[in-house]
Amino acid sequence: MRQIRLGAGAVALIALVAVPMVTDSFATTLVTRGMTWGLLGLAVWFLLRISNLPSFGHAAFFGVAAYSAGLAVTEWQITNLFVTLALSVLLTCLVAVPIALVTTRLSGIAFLLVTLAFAEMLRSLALRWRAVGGSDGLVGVTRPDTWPLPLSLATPSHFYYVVLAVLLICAVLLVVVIGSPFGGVLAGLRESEPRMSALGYNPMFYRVAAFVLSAALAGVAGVMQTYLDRFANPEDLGALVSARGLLIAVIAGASLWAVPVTAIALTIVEDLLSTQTTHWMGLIGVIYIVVSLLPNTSTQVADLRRLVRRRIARRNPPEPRVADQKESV
Amino acid sequence: MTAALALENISKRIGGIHINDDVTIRMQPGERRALIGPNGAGKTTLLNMAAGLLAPTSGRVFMSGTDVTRLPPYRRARRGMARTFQITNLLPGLTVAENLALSVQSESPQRANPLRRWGSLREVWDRVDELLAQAKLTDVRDVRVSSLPYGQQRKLEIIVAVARPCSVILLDEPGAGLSSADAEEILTLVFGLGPELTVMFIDHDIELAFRLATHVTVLHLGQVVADGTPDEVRAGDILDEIYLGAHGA
Repeated sequence: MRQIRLGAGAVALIALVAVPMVTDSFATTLVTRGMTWGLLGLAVWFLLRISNLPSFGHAAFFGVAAYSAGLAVTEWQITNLFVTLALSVLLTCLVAVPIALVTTRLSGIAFLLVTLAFAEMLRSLALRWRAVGGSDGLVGVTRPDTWPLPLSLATPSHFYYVVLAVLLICAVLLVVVIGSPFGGVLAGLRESEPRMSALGYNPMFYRVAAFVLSAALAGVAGVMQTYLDRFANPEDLGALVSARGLLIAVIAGASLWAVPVTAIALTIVEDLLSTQTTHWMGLIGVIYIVVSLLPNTSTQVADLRRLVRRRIARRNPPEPRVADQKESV
Repeated sequence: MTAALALENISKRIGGIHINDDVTIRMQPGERRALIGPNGAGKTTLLNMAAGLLAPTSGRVFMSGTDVTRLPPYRRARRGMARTFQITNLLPGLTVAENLALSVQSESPQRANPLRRWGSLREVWDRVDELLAQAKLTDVRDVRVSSLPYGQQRKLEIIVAVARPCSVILLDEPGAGLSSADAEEILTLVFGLGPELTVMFIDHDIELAFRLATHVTVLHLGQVVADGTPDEVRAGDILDEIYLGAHGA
């Protein structure tokens, strides 16, 4: 199973690396967009799957970072991608902390609605704030340089590879975090907060930390989207962005690596349908509903594996251990 | 001597109902106190207030002389309080070893490290394997807790609770759903952890409680109606009265 997974991952990676080489700049940009949605999906997925917190407000962090990245270039004269990225993510985290302190006390539907409310408050602010363009959005954003890397973000393929690298780094970072002692504590809190509290863990600290990490990832997505479109607007903070992140996370199921794949696939399907019919949004809605209602494939595969193992164990019971034999004697 | 755990004049009122009324219990280090009484006597509520899961309406909780009334459960745990729950409260989606590891690593400076591989905390996993061997649970090391038989879950819950340093342990019906022999095995396991460990346990098996406890507190309608050594409590008529319904009549 591990080999199959590694093989599939290698094929997917080779395919992603090959995209700019075998397609035109339009398709390259389309997949770049899919990858930025993949970053947002990873952010929401992490919170949903690891902390059992369904956020419907990650547009708040996506949008704050989008505006920060735009302002960094247009107003603050910062021209380096890595500096603007770091600054935008930092600002996003600063916004995320107070929101996390309020929302992580909640769970389920209450959490979902309050995160939505925060995002809508920020969207309303962006709509009325003339200094950031109000309802017209932030225009005149240029793509920054990538020093010390010899790349030009004006070239679609270069931009593509930067986003791909960022996506891979973020995904690997999540894999590391999930497999760490910190990830173990988050999994424990997802299972039973009173038990973890009785073991001396401060639930609030860990939930806030997970929330801020997730917000930072959404911020990375917002930065990439702004430089992709050379534009930030209040809709970056809107419910449709949050819904997209949540839907990607739900459709992807239990697998982290399915998140970027789902995001890219949905982006391509959206584009294909939009060229075929004016009712494409309705069709996308139907696809979302049908796919979300399908049983989770990765969970089913895991269940099947467990079932097979149990059957095998039942047919071949383990040899009694020496210690057991001594005891029975 | 300073009490390891002291509940001073604890009352709990929800709406107009008195769940506990002016309860005082002082436990010396190493004491094994059974909390008994009929259903609705307020035993679990009292235990939850001692653990910090519920706030008392009035009264104070002390641990080794320090007022912990306002401390949340995780801070009481860091001061050495462990507990089990009336309904088994483990982490069902995690394996037996992972459940234990989270307890063992809770004192480690690496417990919140987000960049180190969990499996690389050698000292934690070695201790986990040691505990599993002692409890004869090595065979189910990598089994999800949700797949464990109930008896093993109860046993694991106790081991998880005491796998971290603790001086006081609160056991809420550790033998619930188990035979008397299994319940006794679990309690004997806890009492064998050290003479300094202070244990408060709720049990409906009166005979077992009297046999294993050094002190017994009888609760009825939220109040302490008897308190003392098992012989002292047994000498009175209070148990017959409350269990046969004559008390207060």
